[in-house]
Amino acid sequence: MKLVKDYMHKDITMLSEQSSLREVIQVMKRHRMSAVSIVDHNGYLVGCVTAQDILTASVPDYMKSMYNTSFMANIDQVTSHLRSILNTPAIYLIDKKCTFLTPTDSMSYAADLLSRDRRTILPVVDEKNQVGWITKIDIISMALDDELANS
Amino acid sequence: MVLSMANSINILQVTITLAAFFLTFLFITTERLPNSISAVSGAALLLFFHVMTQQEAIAFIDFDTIGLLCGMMIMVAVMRKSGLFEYIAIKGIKLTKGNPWRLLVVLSIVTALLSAFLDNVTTVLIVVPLTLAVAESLRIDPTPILISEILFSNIGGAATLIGDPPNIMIGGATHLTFMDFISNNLPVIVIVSVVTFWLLRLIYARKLNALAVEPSSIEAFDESRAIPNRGFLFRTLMVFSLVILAFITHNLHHVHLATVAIGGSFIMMMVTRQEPEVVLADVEWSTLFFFTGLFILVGGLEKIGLIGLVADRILMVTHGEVGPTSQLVLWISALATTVINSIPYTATMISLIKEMSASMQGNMEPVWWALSLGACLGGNGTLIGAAANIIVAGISVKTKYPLRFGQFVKVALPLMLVSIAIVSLYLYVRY
Repeated sequence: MKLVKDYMHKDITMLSEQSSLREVIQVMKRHRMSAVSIVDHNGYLVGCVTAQDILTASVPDYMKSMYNTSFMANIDQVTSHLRSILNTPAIYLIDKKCTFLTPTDSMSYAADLLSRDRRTILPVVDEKNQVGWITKIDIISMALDDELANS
Repeated sequence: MVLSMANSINILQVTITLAAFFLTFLFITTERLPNSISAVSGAALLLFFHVMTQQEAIAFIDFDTIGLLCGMMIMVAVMRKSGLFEYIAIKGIKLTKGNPWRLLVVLSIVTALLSAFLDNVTTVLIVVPLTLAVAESLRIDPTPILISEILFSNIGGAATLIGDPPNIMIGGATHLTFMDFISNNLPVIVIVSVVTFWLLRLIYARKLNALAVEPSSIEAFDESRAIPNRGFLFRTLMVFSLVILAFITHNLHHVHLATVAIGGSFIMMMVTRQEPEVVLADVEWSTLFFFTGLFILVGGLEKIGLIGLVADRILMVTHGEVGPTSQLVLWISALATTVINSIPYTATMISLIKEMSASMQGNMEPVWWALSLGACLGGNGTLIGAAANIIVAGISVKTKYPLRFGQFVKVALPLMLVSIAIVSLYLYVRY
């Protein structure tokens, strides 16, 4: 059985609970990650802020309630909203319903979670500490393992 | 035991019915439970205690009203996809060239026109997000425009049989036709609209005209992209026009409202090749169950004799004359619906007026118009007076300019009282 711990990325960038959204975006840009972990003063994982969460927070609610926004294609409202929330503490954007993986979970379970929740990335947590990340690409590229071994 | 007129009803059943009715009313008014849950549970209680049989309960449900509502919900769910409503609103917005006072007038007129054909909640769900987008582009406070839109969603809705739930219920319960509503309610609605605009002008015009705006910022809204598929728009409009035509020509063919609406809505789904599962998921089933529960609860009041008792009292006060009765109904309706939900109120009043009409001389029509106009316009009194008001307040609290209860009442309550005074005069002069 293919396990999460054999495929996860171990390079984790963490930010403290006091970090602002600006720092989160800077880390995302620098590390090309779609999520950043937030940890408390003990180093325990509090939650993750994903690019999706930030996008959702920056689109004005009135736009979300429109059936179709194509007539606003020439209007630049989201960027100014995004700019206006840069100093918000990142902790406000933590997704409380975010699911976690443990290192001994199967990759099949990870695949199901990711496709079910339409996320791009999931944290891998051992006890209270984050030990890695699993992305969708990690999962789908698993299918190529045997081909690589044979060649 | 005064109340137990029907022979098979005992005091326990009277108590159960009264408790179920008033608890439901209390839960709806205080929003402790979703409307449909309180109404249907209350209705179930009457059946559990054999206040009425299931057959009687079904007879109390006005399926003409439920069917009309359901059909309109389906048609609106399909038509919303066409982008027509956004197209109309953006065209109107561009006519104003960014002037905030003219924006208030045009968006209010668009709101009134749309709400005459769609339900008020759908109308504000279309117009209010656009208003907020435009106000943000112009960097102005949208509050005066939002207040005006709320007022005109309820004013416009009063003009037609399909514009507002009280009218749909009255249309479903009586012989009054679509054209009857147009010829009796529309004239006074036009007068109320003109006076409301005149008063809003006194309140807001100077303040709004003083705002510095960049008119070019509204040019970026591109109405041509609002309509993704012209063929689809054409087909939905064709069917909807035929449905309205069928409403208007009721006297020629005598096909009932629910039949026209449900039939039309499924034909609309057919000609636009909709997946029924997808469209029917957009129907507000909760609202339909809410109505169903209320009809049964009011039926319970009828059965225990309370409706008859109150009807007799009113007739004693007004001596069974149509003029005083309609004035009384108008003012009670307007004041009651500023705080309580107009739907259960109207359901109760319909049953009451039907009871009274048995012992009144002359034409009962003015009493129905008094109920319709009172219940529709009364919703303008407070921010909780109508469903559309609550929706707008809910959208605006998520923006930089939340609409506050006091802020709304300060403007809306006097305007509502003026509109009722106009209607009162109209009823007196015309009938």
